[in-house]
Amino acid sequence: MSVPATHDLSLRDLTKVYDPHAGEPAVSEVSLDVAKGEFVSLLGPSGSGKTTILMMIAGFEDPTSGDIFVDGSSIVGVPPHRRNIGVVFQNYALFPKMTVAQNIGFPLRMRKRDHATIRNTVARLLDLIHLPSYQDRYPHQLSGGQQQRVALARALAFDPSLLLLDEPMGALDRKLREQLQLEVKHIQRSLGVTTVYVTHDQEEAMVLSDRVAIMDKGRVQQIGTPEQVYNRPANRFVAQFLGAANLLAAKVIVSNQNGGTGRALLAGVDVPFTAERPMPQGASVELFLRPECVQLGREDAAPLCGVVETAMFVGESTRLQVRVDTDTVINVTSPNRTGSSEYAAGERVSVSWDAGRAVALADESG
Amino acid sequence: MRRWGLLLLVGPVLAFVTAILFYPLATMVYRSFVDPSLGFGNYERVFGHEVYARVIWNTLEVSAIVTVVCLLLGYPLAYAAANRGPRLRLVLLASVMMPFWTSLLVRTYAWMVVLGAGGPAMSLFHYLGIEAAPQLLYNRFGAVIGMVYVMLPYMVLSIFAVMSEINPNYQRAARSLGAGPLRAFLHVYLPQSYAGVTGGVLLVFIVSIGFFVTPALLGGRKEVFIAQLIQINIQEVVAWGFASALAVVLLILTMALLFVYDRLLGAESVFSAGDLRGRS
Repeated sequence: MSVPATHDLSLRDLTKVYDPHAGEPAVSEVSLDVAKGEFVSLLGPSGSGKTTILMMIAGFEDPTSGDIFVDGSSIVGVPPHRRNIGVVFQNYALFPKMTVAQNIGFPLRMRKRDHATIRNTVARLLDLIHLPSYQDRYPHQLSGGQQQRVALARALAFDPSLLLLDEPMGALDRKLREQLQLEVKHIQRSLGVTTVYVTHDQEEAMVLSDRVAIMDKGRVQQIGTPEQVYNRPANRFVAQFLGAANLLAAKVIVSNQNGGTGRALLAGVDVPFTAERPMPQGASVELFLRPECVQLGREDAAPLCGVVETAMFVGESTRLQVRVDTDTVINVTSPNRTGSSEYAAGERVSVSWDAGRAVALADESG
Repeated sequence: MRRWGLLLLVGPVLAFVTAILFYPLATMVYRSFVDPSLGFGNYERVFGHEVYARVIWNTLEVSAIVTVVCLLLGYPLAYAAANRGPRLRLVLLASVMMPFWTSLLVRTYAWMVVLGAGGPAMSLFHYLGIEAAPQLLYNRFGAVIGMVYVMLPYMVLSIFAVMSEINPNYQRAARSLGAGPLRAFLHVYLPQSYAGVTGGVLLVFIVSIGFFVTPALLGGRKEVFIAQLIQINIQEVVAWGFASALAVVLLILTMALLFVYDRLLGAESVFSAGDLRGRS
């Protein structure tokens, strides 16, 4: 506890096949490096393989192929109780017949620490999770949030080399979740423990993580900081999984440099875009555009114009659908700075965006 | 009005229970004091003769052995069924349940064939060259085998019901926290499966005390159960008063055991046989 646990984790081509006759593997050639003290989330829909990865790191599942390294040495084949990895489970798995203190002290008892050490560590952890006088309660006497914190304390009690969390807030309501996210983040920072966090909640992943790995169909689709994956998705899945996105069919007319801007034809109008890799001239692409990145203006203020089809006032913003072409509708989120919606249904408006906010993705629809 | 509605709903059941349970029970208790003459005569006979004490003791002892054997066989079986994949679960539970679909009498006679002279068990001893083959029938061994066979499903299902509700994450959590497989089992799994064990033990023991057919056929003359004594007194001796007294003793014994068990383990475990309160 006193010395921050700092270890790093590497996954190399990690693959898990449950049933060789079933189509795709549960986890397919996943490679991932987590730096010492880093907080990385595995984010994806259910069945994307994220929990399987966690179970393989913890040692409850054996990889079909590939390797897992902690501090440069492989842990594949090491039984779970010798891996020294803290795990917080979905629904916490607090031992129902043990008190809070016995639960938190359990890993220390298994390591044959003396009573004084166990007592002190438990007391310190109870302070850390703000439950100082709860040592004699039983799990069923705690609220969901309190159980979650006790489970976290128990997973940290033995200075684990890694901390793994499997959807630890899935059962909690939204308010409590937001509060606990801050607490988890604070505790993780203060201990500096390398952490892998599994969730299907994108907001949770972005709030907590240094980096997010987006998973789908057993593969990592993209890994990067929350800003990178949100603003510059690598493909259509990532674009649509994280928040709302416009994906607009367009044709490249001026190719771009690596990471630079180019120009494309959208609804017959010349518009700017950016992309990680150069898009060849004439290529069919999909322009990815967040609704909140679109600027509306009075008619003819920009080359691309359209008609507002619907305008929904939702409080801090108004959600509009602007038809710029017979088969192109752009979703727009416009902040209500003046307190009311500036544009009404039926109005003709111009549509524009900063070149850097429209990312051209290779067209996967055809 | 609502009270009448409730009475209407519960009434038939109450009448039924009164007619077929409480009335005969009351008659039985009454008879034990008046037949053949008013007083404690029947009870003096039960407790006054060593032979009856021996029958009661024998009943308790054999039932206890049956319970322990059922527990030792049933616990691992239930564990495997609850934790080792759906296919094995189906096979194990089906094979445990199978005897339920056959008449008790047929099953008991089947054991007489298996264990009796010229049966497969004796042939095996002969084949192995064991000349002085042990007697398997008409003794305690035969009674225990037959009764375990009958009672095992109750033990397995009672434990299985609790085990199947234990989330596998508990054992995983214990493993991740540094417990080896054995310690994870002892510290975490065993305490959680306890409700099923206490329920199963109680069920098997209490049903065993009242056993009749199996010990009568497989146990022979020396392994007499209370129930046999009652049967003899009703059908052969026609001493209904004495039979009633024996039945009352059996009833009080059962209730006393329930009471002690409750004191030792808590009412929850007694009345949750197969109930799912074992989980958190």
